[in-house]
Amino acid sequence: MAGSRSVWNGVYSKDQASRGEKAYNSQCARCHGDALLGGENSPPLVDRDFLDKWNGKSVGELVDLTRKTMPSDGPGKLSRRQGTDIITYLLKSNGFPAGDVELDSDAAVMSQIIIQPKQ
Amino acid sequence: MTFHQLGLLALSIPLLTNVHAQKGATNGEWRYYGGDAGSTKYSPLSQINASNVKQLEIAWRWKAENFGPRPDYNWEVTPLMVGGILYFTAGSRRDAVAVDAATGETLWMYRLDEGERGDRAVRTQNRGLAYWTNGKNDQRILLISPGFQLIALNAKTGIPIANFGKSGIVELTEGLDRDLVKPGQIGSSSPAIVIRDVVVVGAALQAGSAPVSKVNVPGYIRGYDVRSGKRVWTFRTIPRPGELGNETWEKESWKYTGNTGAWAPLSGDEELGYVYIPVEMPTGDFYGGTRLGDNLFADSLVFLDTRTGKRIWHFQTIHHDLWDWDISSPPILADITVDGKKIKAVAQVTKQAFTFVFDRATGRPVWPIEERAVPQSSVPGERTSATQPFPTKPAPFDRQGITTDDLIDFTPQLKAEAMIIAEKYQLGPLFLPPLVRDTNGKLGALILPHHTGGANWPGGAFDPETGILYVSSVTNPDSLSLILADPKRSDMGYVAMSGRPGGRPPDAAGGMPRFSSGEGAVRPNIGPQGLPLVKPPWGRITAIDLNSGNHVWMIANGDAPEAVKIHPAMKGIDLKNAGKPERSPLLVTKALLFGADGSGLYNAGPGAGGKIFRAIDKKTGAIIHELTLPASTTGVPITYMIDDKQYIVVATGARGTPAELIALAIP
Repeated sequence: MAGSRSVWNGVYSKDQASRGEKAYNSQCARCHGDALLGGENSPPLVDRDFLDKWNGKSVGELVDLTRKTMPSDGPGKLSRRQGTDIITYLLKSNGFPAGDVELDSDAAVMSQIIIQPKQ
Repeated sequence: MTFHQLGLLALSIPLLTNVHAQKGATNGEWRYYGGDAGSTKYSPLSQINASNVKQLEIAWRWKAENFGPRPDYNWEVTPLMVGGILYFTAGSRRDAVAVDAATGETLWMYRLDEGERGDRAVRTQNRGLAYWTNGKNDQRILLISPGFQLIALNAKTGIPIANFGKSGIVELTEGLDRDLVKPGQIGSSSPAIVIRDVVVVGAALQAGSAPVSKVNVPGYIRGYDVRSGKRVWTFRTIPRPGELGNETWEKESWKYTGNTGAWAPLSGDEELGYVYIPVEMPTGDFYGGTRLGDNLFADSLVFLDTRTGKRIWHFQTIHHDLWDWDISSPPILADITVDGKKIKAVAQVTKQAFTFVFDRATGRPVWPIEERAVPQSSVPGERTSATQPFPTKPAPFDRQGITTDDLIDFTPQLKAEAMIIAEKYQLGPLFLPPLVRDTNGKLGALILPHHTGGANWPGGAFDPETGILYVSSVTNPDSLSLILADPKRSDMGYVAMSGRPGGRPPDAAGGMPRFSSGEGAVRPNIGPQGLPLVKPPWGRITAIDLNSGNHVWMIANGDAPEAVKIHPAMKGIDLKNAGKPERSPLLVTKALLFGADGSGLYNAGPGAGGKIFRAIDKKTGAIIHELTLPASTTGVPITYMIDDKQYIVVATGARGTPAELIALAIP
């Protein structure tokens, strides 16, 4: 894909992932767990489970699905910015590096960033 | 902390009557979560009865939407009703609220902003409050906050009781034998109970399907003086050296293991002065290699002396739990007559579909309970208990274990497809242990009832006049399998394939929608074409005579879920008695049994939940009336009488439909 980047290109900032962690802890951790390992009926958000599901898809798709379906009892309430922050925390937790600038919550930008294992 | 006082209401002070726990709610009130301290969920009211129940209408609605920073949808609350006022918790911050029980008008609310410890609450469900009075002018409401603080409020004003704890608040994270308890480690989802002026507090911790660590906080049971807030005792659910049961935690696992709280509501007996504690399992839902041994007092029903916290008796319902079948509902106090002998009993329904019945003074089983040999685990480092307890009576109220005979067989084609799916899993009897994924080519062990039951927190209701216990349960198998834990993520050794247990294929939902209107985070069916794998009923209500131990009747929890009914393969098949795969909350009165489709908002199968509220004939199980509510019933209903008018109040909500209380009455 011309001009596209991957999650290995430092697509978010450390501060943003910290904001995302805080939001994750209050909105997501009670089901997906402190270490993102999943819960009773909630999938893990790291490692093999994460990549099996998201390999080859875009960060934009991940943000969109999260905002559309989570939190599962009352979805549709996460702002674009909050949803994006939470996803940067997921990226950090999966070992994708931080960079100097924040991930732009613009859909067109995020749809160009591909999730993939280390090449 | 901020506090809003919206109004004051002069109260007539109800007299403290000699309440027998097993007699149900008295004086037209509902003073305990379970109606009475014995959690019968029974009321002797009968103004609403079979002859007029069809006239029930909505009397008022109370909206919880603006309580808490985000709406609550799955409101598992059961209000209290004392002196014409409803008291309950509301919203994702678990505010305490007082409402006029006749009109729904808000009288006061109490809101505690706990900052990070509230944001990180381990459990955001709220099931309600506890009430206490000295029989004179001191009336208190006891709230356990999401961040695990105990707050005593003046029932008339909602203002914290200044000389209770520190300005009305008691810190609950202290005294747990841990140097540091972090926000989000421990809390409670159920109310405290007050027996003999002692507030007894249980605990809930993070679910343990894939814990970060075997090191966790123990969910000890504590008693607090209702007047001062002073902690008067601690019962260590994980015993220290020198205490009974310490030897059941091998290799010093008592030192670090946590959980083992009591997250379900508690019960008690004022006359005996005992509390009955349904203890949950230890850390590690499906792998116990880090806690070898029987693990007392995990999965035990424990009788404690309310004044001292001294253990009177206990019974462990599962040794070394590997199934997350911890005790999930309040014990039910039942005065019964068995073979001509009067017994003050306590009955405990469980996730694995047993009803354990004991003498509640002595602990003697009413019917023999046998230790039977059970299958053994093949997981490295695991050591299964050789035997598990099986009550000889009453019979299980739901199916236990799974064979190919249980698979759906609506058509030969579906049965053939179900057989191919079942081949991927290990099938077996109750207590089939989890296995490591891909052992002998199997994705996992198929467990029925799965780890949320069977029965769960809605538990049962008991009619003290007839001795009949009503219990709701779900028939929905799921696969359990373990994978090696990545040491950089967890020190557990093995953790569950959580979220898609057993390597459930990503497309397990098949043609079934994972979400549809009114549903929550559903557990996808693993059967053919996204249908349930086993035959219906998928949800049921069972009536059990506790005098004889015999089942009286069983009915399905309504008809099949919509998503099943519209499935092309189901064309022409009678699904009237297939049952919604959710637990019906139950309320029993002198006149009727009340049930509902249930919430379907947590861990239920596709299509679970629904708007139907039912009046059921107590003797036969026949449906007398069905009423469509604005949303699904999410809490256990209550009933009460004001100005000679009987009301039924129930919490409702659905995915995307914020929580409300609905009051029903005959106009």
